[in-house]
Amino acid sequence: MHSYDVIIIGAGPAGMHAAQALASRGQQVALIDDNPAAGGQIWRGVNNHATQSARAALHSPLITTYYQTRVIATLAAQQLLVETPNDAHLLHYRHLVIASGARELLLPVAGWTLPGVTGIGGLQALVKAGMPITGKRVVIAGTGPLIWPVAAFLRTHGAHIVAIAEQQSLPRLVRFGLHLARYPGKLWQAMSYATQLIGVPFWHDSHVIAISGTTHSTGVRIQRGEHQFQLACDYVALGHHLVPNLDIAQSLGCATTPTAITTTDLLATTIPHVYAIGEARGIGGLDCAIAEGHLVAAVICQDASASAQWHQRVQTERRIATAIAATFTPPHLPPLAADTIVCRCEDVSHGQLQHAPDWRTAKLQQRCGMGPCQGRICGAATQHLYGWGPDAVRPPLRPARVATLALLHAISPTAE
Amino acid sequence: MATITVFINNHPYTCDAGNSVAGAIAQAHQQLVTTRQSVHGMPRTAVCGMGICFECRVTINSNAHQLACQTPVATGMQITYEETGYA
Repeated sequence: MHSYDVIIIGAGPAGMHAAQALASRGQQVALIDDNPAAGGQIWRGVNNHATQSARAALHSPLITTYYQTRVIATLAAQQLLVETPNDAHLLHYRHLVIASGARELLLPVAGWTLPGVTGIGGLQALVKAGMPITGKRVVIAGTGPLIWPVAAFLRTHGAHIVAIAEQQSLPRLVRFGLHLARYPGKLWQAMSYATQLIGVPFWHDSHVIAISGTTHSTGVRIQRGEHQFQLACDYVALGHHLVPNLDIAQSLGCATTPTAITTTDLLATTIPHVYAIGEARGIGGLDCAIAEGHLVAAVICQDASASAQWHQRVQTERRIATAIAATFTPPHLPPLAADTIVCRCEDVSHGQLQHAPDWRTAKLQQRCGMGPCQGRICGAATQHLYGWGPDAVRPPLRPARVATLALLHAISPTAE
Repeated sequence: MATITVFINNHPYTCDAGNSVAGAIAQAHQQLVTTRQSVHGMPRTAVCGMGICFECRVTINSNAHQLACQTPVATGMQITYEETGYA
């Protein structure tokens, strides 16, 4: 068993800054992430001054990094069971910081299971990982502030952006733009994306009705206001803003809402010694995540003056988060056809689910959410489609090897 | 960027060393291709790109159900998936 003063789950900007700030105060830190490198989703493959210095700061003798490592179970006595590509470990913490970030909300629509249909951030991540995009025709649809940087990124890499279809109304988007104008840095960023996207058709009040193709997406049908039309394309990037990753917090027994881990102003969850920072505390963006990384280190080390200073900063950043949440609320969805797949892992359709009373019944009777992703896609989708709440979270949190689970027997021979 | 050789369904393929397995497969075919059949036989491949949806799972060095999007390529890596006749 390895023991640490603080274990941080998630090596995105929040977790990286927390690790660095804790190590600078003499704490022994473990930083865990399921990706092959630090940076989270937003800093994947990004190489600038901010990312270089954040990555360099992790080379501290006080920081142990566990990459490609998944949390399989949260255990009694402040322990975690984690799985690496070749091994498994029990890790003990005095304090636990959950920086588990967010994922895209992917909502079902006819044809969304076809190869070539990806998340919006998903397509960007795949391109950064080597997928060719030059000359490909891409339609980006859904809602959320992620649309803009991703569209600009794809275009810079040679994609032909056929159109951007945003579900929100124009007045709502204008209100958001006016709010952004209060923050010169953010406004500047928005203007730079807009400049990179000159000439790309942008439609508000628009959504995807169906994606066509037999073995790959070849086209998409869009509803724009009263009109419908068909667009030919190679890829459809679909996303409906972000949802926080709450499963680890829920497994620990922390109180959560559908959009955040519940915390105090000083980041404490409802479980002693457990803190939450970054997107898992509610979608707040990069600067908010970084500020909360610093704040949690100050709080854990009882550094009152640094706490006060970073708390102030966090409050400012959270105001922007509130504006984002108010603008890009879960969209109104057109009714699904009965044969539209909702649970991709188990191929459960809307027709099989629409009369189910709740998530638990759908799991037990239809196997909805019982596949390898363990409801990470359809759980959030069914919450929007049918208003189902989440069921209790049980270990293993991710599919795990038998040898990993056998470690549990080693510590507690009477455990199930 | 440095390149390395991996084997995709037993065919050697030279790709960028910084690629993920999902990126390498897409590079080899110049597009995303079907790498899995769903329980009802529908074509599927990577969607979320970040280890959430599990749609990209392939066999890597004889270990089944590895996430192609979260696994970096390595020299000599054997990547296999069922070729279904889907493009």
